[in-house]
Amino acid sequence: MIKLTGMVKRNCLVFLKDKGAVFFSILAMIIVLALTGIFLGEMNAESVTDLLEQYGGARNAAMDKENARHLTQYWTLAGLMVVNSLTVTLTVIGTMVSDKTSDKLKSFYTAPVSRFMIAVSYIISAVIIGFVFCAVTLLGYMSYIGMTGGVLLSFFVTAKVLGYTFLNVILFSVISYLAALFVKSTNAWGSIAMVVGTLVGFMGAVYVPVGSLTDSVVTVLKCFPILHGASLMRKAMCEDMLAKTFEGVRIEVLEGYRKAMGIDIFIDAKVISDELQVLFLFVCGMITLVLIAVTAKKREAV
Amino acid sequence: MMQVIVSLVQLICLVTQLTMRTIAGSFSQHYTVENVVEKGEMRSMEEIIKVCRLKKYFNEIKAVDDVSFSVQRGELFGFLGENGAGKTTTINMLCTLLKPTDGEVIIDGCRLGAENEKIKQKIGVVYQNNCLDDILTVKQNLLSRGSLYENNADELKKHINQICEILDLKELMNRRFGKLSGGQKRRCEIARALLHTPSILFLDEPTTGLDPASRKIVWETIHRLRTELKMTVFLTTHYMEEAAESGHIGIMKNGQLIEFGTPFTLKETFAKDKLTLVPKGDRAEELAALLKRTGEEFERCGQEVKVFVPSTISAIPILETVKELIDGFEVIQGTMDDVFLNAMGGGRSDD
Repeated sequence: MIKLTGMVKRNCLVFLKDKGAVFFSILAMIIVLALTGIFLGEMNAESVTDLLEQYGGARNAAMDKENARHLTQYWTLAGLMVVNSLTVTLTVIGTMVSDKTSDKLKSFYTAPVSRFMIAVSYIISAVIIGFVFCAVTLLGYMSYIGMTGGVLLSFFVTAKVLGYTFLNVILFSVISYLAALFVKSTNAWGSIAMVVGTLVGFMGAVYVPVGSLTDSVVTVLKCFPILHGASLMRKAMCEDMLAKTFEGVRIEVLEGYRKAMGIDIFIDAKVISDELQVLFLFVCGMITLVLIAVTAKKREAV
Repeated sequence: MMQVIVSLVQLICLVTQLTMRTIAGSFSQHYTVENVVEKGEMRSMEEIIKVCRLKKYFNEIKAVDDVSFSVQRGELFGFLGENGAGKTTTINMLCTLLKPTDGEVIIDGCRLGAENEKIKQKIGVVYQNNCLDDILTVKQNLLSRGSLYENNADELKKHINQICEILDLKELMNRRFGKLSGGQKRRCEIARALLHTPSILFLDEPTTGLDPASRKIVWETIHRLRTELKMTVFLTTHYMEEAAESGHIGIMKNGQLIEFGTPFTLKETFAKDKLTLVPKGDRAEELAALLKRTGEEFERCGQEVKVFVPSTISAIPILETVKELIDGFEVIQGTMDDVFLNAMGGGRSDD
């Protein structure tokens, strides 16, 4: 156990002490925050107030605006959590790529530790750092929402969000590890991280809501775990605010909003349940682990 | 008559049995490490590494092809060869990183393949590139690497202190590895490889890219390890003067071990000493004629005459013969560079 702890500690230290790596791991989050601050947040909030004006009848416009603002804040936070789950874990797993390209991985392999344990140590490091970064993001953003007069998530919802975060972080860690097995240079990994960091916002429908995308694009996105991870997170975080904001509004309007914002994901006009989405993420993780095992077996030395 | 037939049958049986045993014996001798290594080509002293008919093929490419050698406990073994000769592939196999295509290897009593975990405890490897993390301090590096070998944190700290004392690393412990000089980094790498007190230290081109001062520091460290810890060192290097320090040298070419021996025997075979003679006044022609008469191998270089001699001692009778004709002389010993170049070129010193 001390061997595994030692390896995990080393991987975490190597990542955390590299300020550049830490910055780039949260760059996608910073971009989302900047875009939200500049115009996306306002745009999303306005779309909610427009809906309420159109379908809500006589209402308190000021309260609607306030509710819409907090709803979109939680919606953005849900997206951030998924973006972080992927970009942070991807960057932490980058340590393995740089170890592979130098002789560091060789030096680990000549130590009396199994290759399986070394692989697990990279994944655990990514999970720990990914989870901590997401938890800090959650804490920071919730504090901001609280300070600006928003309602904080309940303990149960927070626990649920952290549970989903954990699931996302594990899944993206193993996917990143699988990808890292095929990458032979740190430059290539850096390029992948850049592309993923850019794409993740679209794949999770964080920059642009699902409703603004074409059906074919949405169909493709549904095949990837990012959208489902984001959807789970949005359902958990936005449920209370949705009920509060859309109080007295026809259910069809709320359903339409949920669909357009990627809170609910549909297959053949049926909403995919939380359980099914969790199962999908779990199956994705399992398939990835099998692929890792097969790849590692092929490359196994003596 | 009957007795004669019985005796004849018995004799045939006996001969058949003996023949079968001989054949079986010869087969088993071919394919076991103990027999092949201890046969004439190998040495019979305490061998800490025994390599027998080791092969590594990557599809059609024979990276290592039928290599056998042994290394004695406590010796410095030099493993030479051009780039791509198969040195690193061989080391990678000995260090359990690569699976041999065929052959047997025994490292400090443990069979490669079957007892890899035990082998890993007995070896320390220093690679050509630094393996420690630039961003961490030396102490953090050694603690994290040491934890892969030692389960007890207190014991590990004790080991680190001991090794750092031997390698004079105490003052570097809290400095970032990335900020150290090349020589200091190499010393730290050696410390990393020694944290579990291995019996064999593999050094894969440890001084490549270092300035002369740093190389000197690394070599002082290696000497201390050998004298103080009696450690077996398996060294690959491109610096021939470093290889000359070895107890035995193996030279690889195209995946095969083409030469094996002590620096002395290899020099005898591949590098002749040169006796440079400075003739008196205008007696160069006379000197050349005398050397020709006595059958010496020589060449004229301006006014000087260079005579090739198998060893320094064999220069004495030549000097005795030509002393009346010369003003001065110099004996230049054959170098490991000559050995390497001649061995790689397939030429012997007497060719």
